[in-house]
Amino acid sequence: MNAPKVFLFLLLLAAPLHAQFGGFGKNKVNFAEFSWQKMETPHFDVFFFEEERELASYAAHMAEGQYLDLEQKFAHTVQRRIPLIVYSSHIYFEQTNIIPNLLPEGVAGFTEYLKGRVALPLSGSLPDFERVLHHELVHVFTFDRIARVLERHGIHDFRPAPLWFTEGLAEYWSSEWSTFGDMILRDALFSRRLASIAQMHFIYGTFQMYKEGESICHFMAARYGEDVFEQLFQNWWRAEAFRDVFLLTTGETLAEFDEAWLYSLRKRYLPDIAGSDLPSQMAHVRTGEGFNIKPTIVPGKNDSLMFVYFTNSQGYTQIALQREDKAPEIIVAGERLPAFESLHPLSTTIAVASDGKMLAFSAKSRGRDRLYIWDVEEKRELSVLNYDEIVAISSPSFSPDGRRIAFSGAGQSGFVDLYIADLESGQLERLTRDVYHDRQPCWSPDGQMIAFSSDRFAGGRQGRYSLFLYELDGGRIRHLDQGDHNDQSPSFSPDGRSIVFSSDRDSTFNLYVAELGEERVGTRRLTRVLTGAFDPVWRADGNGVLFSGFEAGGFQVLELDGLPTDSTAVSWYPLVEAESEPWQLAGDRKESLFALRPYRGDMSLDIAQSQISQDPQFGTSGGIQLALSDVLGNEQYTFVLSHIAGSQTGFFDGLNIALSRYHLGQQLNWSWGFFRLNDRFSSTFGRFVREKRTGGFVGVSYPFSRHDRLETRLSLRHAEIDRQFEGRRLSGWLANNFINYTHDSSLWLPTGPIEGHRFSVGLGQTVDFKSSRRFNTTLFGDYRHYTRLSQRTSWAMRYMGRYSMGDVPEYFSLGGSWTLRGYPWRSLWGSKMVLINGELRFPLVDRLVIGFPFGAIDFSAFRGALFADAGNAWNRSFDQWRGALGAGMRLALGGVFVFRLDAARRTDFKQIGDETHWDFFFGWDF
Amino acid sequence: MKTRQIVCALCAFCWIFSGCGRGLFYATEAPPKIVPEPPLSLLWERKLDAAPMGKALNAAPLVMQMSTGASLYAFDAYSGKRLGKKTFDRGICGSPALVGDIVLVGSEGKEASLLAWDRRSKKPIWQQEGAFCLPPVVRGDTLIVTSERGLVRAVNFATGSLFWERDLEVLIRVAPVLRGSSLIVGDGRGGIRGLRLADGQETWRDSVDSGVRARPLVGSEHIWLGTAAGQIIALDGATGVLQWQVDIGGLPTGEMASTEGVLGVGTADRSVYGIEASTGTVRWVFKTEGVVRGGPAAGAGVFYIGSSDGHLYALDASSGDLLWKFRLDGPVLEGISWVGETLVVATEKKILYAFGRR
Repeated sequence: MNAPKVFLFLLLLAAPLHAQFGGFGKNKVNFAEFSWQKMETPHFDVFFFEEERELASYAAHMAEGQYLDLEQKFAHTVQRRIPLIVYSSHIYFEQTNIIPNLLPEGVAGFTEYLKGRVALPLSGSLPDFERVLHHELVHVFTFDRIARVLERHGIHDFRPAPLWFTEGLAEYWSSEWSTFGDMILRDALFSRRLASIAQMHFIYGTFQMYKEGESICHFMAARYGEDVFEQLFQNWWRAEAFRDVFLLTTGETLAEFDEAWLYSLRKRYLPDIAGSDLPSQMAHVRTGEGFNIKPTIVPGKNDSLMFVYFTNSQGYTQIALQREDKAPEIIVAGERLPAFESLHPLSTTIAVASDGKMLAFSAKSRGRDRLYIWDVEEKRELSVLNYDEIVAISSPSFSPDGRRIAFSGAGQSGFVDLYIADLESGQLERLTRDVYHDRQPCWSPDGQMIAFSSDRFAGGRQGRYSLFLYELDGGRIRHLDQGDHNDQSPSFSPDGRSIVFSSDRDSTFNLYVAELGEERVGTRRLTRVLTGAFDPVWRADGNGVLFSGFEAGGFQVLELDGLPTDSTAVSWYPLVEAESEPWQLAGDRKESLFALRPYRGDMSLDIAQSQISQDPQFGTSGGIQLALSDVLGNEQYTFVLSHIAGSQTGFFDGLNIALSRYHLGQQLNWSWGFFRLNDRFSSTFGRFVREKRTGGFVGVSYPFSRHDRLETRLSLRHAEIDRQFEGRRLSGWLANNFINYTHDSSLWLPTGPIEGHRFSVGLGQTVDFKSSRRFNTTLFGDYRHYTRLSQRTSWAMRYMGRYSMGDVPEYFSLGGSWTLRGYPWRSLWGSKMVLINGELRFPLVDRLVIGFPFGAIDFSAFRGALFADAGNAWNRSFDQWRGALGAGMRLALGGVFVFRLDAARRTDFKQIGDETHWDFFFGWDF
Repeated sequence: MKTRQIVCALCAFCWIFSGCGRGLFYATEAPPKIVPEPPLSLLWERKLDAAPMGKALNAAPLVMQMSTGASLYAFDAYSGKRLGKKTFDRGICGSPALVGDIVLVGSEGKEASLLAWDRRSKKPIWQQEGAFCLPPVVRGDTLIVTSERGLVRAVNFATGSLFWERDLEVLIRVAPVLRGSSLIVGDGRGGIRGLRLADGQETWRDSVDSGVRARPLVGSEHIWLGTAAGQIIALDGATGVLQWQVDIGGLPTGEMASTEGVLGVGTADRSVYGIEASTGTVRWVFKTEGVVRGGPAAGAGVFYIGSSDGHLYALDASSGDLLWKFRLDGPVLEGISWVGETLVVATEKKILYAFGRR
């Protein structure tokens, strides 16, 4: 590797002149600042903030119990303290700096391997939190067990387990097999999407992979004994490939086992078709393309069916309005603007007022959920409700008069309770106040009651939900059914006499109706689906039900015409008073005996590496890179020390040293650093210059939202610059500053953006500090727009310009796969530059699996492109447009690299050249 | 049991004074004749090149310890002086065994074999093809080797020539043991067989609910074994008929030992259990602060056992009372051995400790 490039990435952090124009990318914004503390248990350091102290105490007790459970299952003691970082809300969790990645809402927790940290949020359900914690601790033990076994046998290359196995084992050892598991496997089997172990790459990282992995682990334990996993890890050092370790441990090949497992699934699930149907076979499918869920009826003036629902057919979640037999109409476009960063389609519902004119939904915006009241016809915001004491909001439900709205809300403690908000005054009333997960409120048509789903019953300790009625007059809570199963998503019939809901009481989520009697409730089944029926709502005329049906790996909204009169017999249960404290957890604040300490932010090592490289111009270069951070990742250091030991330089002359400090724990991120560098520098599009620089910098970045940020940086340095390309040497004390605004709301495929837009504009200048001589002033603009033409085809445009003026202008270059294709890399240069790219991006092959002797490699995205480029770079006057037309292909390699190959012919826009120029590159599409 | 002790004593005498004929007894199982009482003194500690592979071999007055780096060390049991080190090819796959002067080392991979190596001449004697990673057993001139895939082979110990072979077609996770003229084999699915030593014919078969995990321990009347479901089971030594079974909390992780009519069992739930060998009554449970992976060493009414918590414990066999403990430098994952009057234990930090009376 070329010596200057070895440290390029980290050097750029301290290179203020040329790296001044920030890249794109969405932001992780720390809207909330907390005072962190540490709770010390025998095996864990639990990090928490004061508002979630009760949760931290529960987590500490849970973690200790789970540690002992897993210690026995793995027959292994983890010989280090495990950092456990607890967040009372997913919204706070998304702000973590423990890992740099943006965390989607589907991530329920993670285990990080540099420092072995476990981080997870409370989703509202403490039993579910306990399950996720257990899941993550299985990862901690799995990693540690494998690492220690390999270490004791002197094997230094880590041999990771296949993802389906690690996630499957984590599921298997953290919870009982669930109805959802049955649903996923049964559906995969009937829709011919079940992946064998040999085909796991097809479902890599999906929920289906988790559930198949869990099923495999169940089957392994039944076939070989529960201790097979412990034996597997014990043998981990004995072979490089998992399949060989499997063979050594079980005496059976993975292929033989795979076949037996698939056979067992067929035997288990295929008979189910005799008594039930796929949703599309027993109800009318009312939605089409993509993922469509959570319908809510919009009452209209006539009897025609009209409903709103969440739809995600092209990557963004939106709220659509479906009028009978017409094309769906998008009425709320989510996830592109700071106002609707997320619409939480999996955890909330949409409410519609009884007059059908208003709808209410919750959306995440700037670090908390807000409740939006929306005009259905005019598609505009009527009002927004947000409360300081409530962080997360879900499942709004209008009162019959449309003046109040009930919802589930979570405060900073993380516990979810029921609230009522007055739409006119904004006044908030809290209905429940405890640790139970009260969700999915539904206001009765007479306005007297709110039905809701909660884990406030004995079975709730195992993570199950049941239905309850909250009487607004007096606050009495009554329990609809005492069965040990999951009842959820209650919806009152228009006459208020019945509630339709979804339940897994027959091991599949089906629809049921509860008829409300005086002091009793009678339940009867409505559907008998093979996979799952969820989120039922009555039609306005009471003569049918809409619901979300799961089939072929996705959800659609379906309509059940009328209500079956020959349904199963009604089972009657007494309507009883709900227990006030049906279950408790160890770790109540009064019980917690663990020591508390203030958070000190001690730094520990993230990365330490050294490299030696050779460059024909600079000679041998060697150096070290260090990165340190605190447990929360809010405070970070990077340190680079390298030396270019070429014959042209002496020891001190060739020394490169840079220290940077980053403070990321608040919305305003800032950094500072010092550097002494002697190297070649270039920005992405700039010319290389040789420069000795000694100085320091201060940088500030202020993200307004997930999509927008303002950045600025100031540096002072003594520079000796050799602009070899123009034969000029300069030296002096230089002050450089820049300011830059970036927006990014693009949606990506593995090879690059497919929808949305992003732009960046900036201004920078460099002056000689002593003489006040202005070296240069530089303007920068880059706008990219991606227009989706179909599900996986898009048209991308980029408009970019740079302009540098002054005594020592910056020079920009064009040419190569990233800029102007068909021209050699950086062959055109000047202090001004303009570039326009247009590119049609389309799929070629969905999945390309190439078998190599060492195993198959799955290229999950193999896409094509047709493009036209135009641009030029110049110094004095623009002479002509240079252009290229061509085609290319892109191959995503494991989600990390994209291999790009372009063939282009140059054009001056009068004629096209005969010669084809090939560009090969690793990198995403612009 | 007495006959066995007499044979062992004769062999020890024979070996010390003249160099014993090969294969008269399985030296690692011989209990010490005189066991020092706790507290013990640390006699010496020595660094190994890697973590221990199996427990120390009793070559009294030598301690022999194999490492995962495939090095076999020999130390003087009392002074700790290093007397030799032999490094085998990588690929060793299980604890070695010592029979007289012969060290038996199993390896796996492309050239899987069982190597018989003479520690005096430092030369290989013979090599048996196949992945025999479980410790072999020897009776007279018959060496029994067992593979995890269920192949049981009896060969001439002197020459390696085959006497008989049986494929049990079942996974075996712990080495078989000898009782009288029978070989007792417990398998990974809970099957327990008695095979005639002379020809490998099955003489009895029984089964338990889950796989056999703790190597069977042979007594005068009983055979005790531990299962993957956390049970300790006693079978009639002659017929294999179940005598008693007891559920304990955790997975038995190493070999069992007995003294004063009490079985000592270490488990993954951080515990050491003391179980009455004749009735199966759990007499006591001792909790450590980590998984107990290696088996205990027993003697004179005391169990010595190491734990992942980095301690060596001495427990009273009748009451489970802690008599003495010693803080080691790291976790103990292998068993503990008596070598003469010296107690030997190795840690994951690659240190071999010897304890005794000064």
